Amino acid sequence: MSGISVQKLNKNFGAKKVLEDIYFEVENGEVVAILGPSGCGKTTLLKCILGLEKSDSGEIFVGSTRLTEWLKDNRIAYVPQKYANFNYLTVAQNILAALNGQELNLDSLVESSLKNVGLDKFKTSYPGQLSGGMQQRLALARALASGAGIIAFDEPFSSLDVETRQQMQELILESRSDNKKTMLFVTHDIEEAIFLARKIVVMGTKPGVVREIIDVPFNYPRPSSLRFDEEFQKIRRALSFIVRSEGIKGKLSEGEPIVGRSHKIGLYYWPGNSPFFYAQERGWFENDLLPVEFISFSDNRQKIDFWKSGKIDILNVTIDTALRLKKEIPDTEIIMGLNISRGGDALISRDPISSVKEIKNKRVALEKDEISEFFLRYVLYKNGMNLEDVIVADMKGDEIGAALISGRVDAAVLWEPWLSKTLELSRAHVVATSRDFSVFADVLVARKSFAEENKEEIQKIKMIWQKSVDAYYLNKQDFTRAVAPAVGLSARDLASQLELIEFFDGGTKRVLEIGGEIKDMMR
Amino acid sequence: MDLGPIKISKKNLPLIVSLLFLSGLWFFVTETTRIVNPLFLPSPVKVATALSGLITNGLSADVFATVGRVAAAFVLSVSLALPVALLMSESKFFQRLFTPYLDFIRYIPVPVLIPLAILFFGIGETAKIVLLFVGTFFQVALQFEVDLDDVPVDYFDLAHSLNFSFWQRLKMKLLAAAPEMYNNMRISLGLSWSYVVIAELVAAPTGIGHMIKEAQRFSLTADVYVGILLMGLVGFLSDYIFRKSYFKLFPYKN
Repeated sequence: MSGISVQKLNKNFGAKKVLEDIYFEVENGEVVAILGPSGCGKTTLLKCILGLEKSDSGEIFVGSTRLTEWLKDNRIAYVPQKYANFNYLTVAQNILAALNGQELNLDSLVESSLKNVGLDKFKTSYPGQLSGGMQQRLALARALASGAGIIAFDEPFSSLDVETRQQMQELILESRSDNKKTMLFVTHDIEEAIFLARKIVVMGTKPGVVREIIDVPFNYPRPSSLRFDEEFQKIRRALSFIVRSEGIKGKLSEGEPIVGRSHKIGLYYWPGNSPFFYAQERGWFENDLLPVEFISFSDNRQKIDFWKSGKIDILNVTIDTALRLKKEIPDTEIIMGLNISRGGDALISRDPISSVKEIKNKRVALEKDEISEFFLRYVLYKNGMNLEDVIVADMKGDEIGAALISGRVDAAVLWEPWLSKTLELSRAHVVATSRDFSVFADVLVARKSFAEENKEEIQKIKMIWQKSVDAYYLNKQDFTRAVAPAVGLSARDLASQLELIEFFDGGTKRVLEIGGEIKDMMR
Repeated sequence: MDLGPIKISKKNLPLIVSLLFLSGLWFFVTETTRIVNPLFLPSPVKVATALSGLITNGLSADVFATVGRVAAAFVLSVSLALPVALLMSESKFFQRLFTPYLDFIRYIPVPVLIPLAILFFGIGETAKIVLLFVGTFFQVALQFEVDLDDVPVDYFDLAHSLNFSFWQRLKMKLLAAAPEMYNNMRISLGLSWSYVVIAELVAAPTGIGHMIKEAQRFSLTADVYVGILLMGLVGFLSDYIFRKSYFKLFPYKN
């Protein structure tokens, strides 16, 4: 009766795409959580389902009826985060507001509704006189009393303390066991989502998309001790990885290139570029009147396309990509050597694989045409194999870890900061790292014509890089502390990751030697 | 409505002490030392004598006349402003239609309308009430509209999810905005007090403003001071009643 089906829903605010092709199903009586980082459009999605916002395309059905049609005679009960109750009405009057149109036994209905949530002693109080938890209990009681078959919650407990929040979650499950109402629960709290829901719709950001739909395998009633269950924690870890990745991606995509006279440098988002972040933090580019703008993308291919089309001037790639680009566009010049990974990239696996040779015929997640593909090719090449010996699953940088954690692939090629995070969350182990294959050097490339015209500026960038690298080797603690927020890592995590990187002085001699070394394989 | 007596508590102590000090100072500079010319500032004794003289000569009629004018114009303003504000907040069309007029007239100082008011309505009560009405209506209507527009959008979402009818939604909107509207009424009442004297100074047979003007004609400075103090006192009292009744009317704001 009251199941919901959302099909290819799209929503724009002006030119901004907020929701893209959203789809999911909620069965009658099911509790479904919509989980995602802030700003991913989950509230907008909920408002579309409530009939408070119009979608631009796509359909929502309740049962087999189109939402617009269904809303003519029905409503979805709603428990919002703020202003969950009318502050000028007493507790009892707030319940009465939901009993619109019902005529019999109003008093006893109010009484029993309030009793169910333990508020029967507060009938004549005003919501403002109640604690935050009690206010949300009142909102829940009103939603339950309204007679609606579906209840929508929009982060209703986000301003409550942990203890009260957990009590509220348990109260919701209790009330569900009596009423069997369909519940849609928007939240950014991962544990809340797992504890309450049968199914979790994980949203990605900018624009809001459905990243994953995860089934939660626990039966109701769920005891509060479920939160300590190993399986519960496993799901939490996997979700935490996705939500965190989405959060970082959201931040990065805001750095899209803008028109201006500054030099735009497309960088990898990884600790190897810390000297640039440090120099920026210290204001060295401004001191040298050097207008540069760093742009980081989790999607490296997009970054290369931007460089090819001239939207960015200088590009940060690995030496192998630089050589490939040189072949493709003869105008390409390697202008700086930045660093070499000594363990920052790795081939990791969940299966009991102890040597590279055993990877044969396994599913390996990596980012095609990127360093991770080169890494695997090189490792295989050194072991007398080639890419055809494995099944490659091509994915974007931030999806690889999640794929390994959820078991969709047997192995993955990952780099920092995702590498440590995935190892921590998935119990995977390292098969090979860039420590044993030290050919993974980062360079900056530019068009020859650009390098010619901006000789002085490039020299300045080189000097600032050098100064920043010196600062790192001089006082690692200070350096790490300054850079950590820029790379989205704790100072401790960053410090250990930086130990796996050797920084060059900006010159190109070393990287060209490495280029010579890998030429054979490239052919 | 029982508003309770004005209590002498610790909270009122600074006011009481400063009042006693100012009266003492007043007495000292006028009665004891006479450093100030009594024509400019008569002593408190003189002002008190003038007050008792005025009371026997029908001061209460003046006070009632003034209070009556303010009350009549204020009730008229508020009762007309409310539907206009509701109409504006409910309909973009009426908002776009009315706002420019409200903004324009709001900035016209009331005194410049006196000649026209007399021309249209003569020198009777109607002219005064119209002046006061013009002085407050446009302010009140605009403030009411802002208050109604400030009702959190979440309330409307809630109303939608509870399937409120049009009238239920309107009632919700009014009740949610009521405390702010009440506060703004209080501020507008203060405005009425300044306009009423202007109206009474021009052509009026009664009223506190009229009483002051008469006193000025005969250089009865003490009477002028009585008028000024009386205006302040009546204004203060009306404001006090508004403030106190606020929490009685809207207990959830307490």
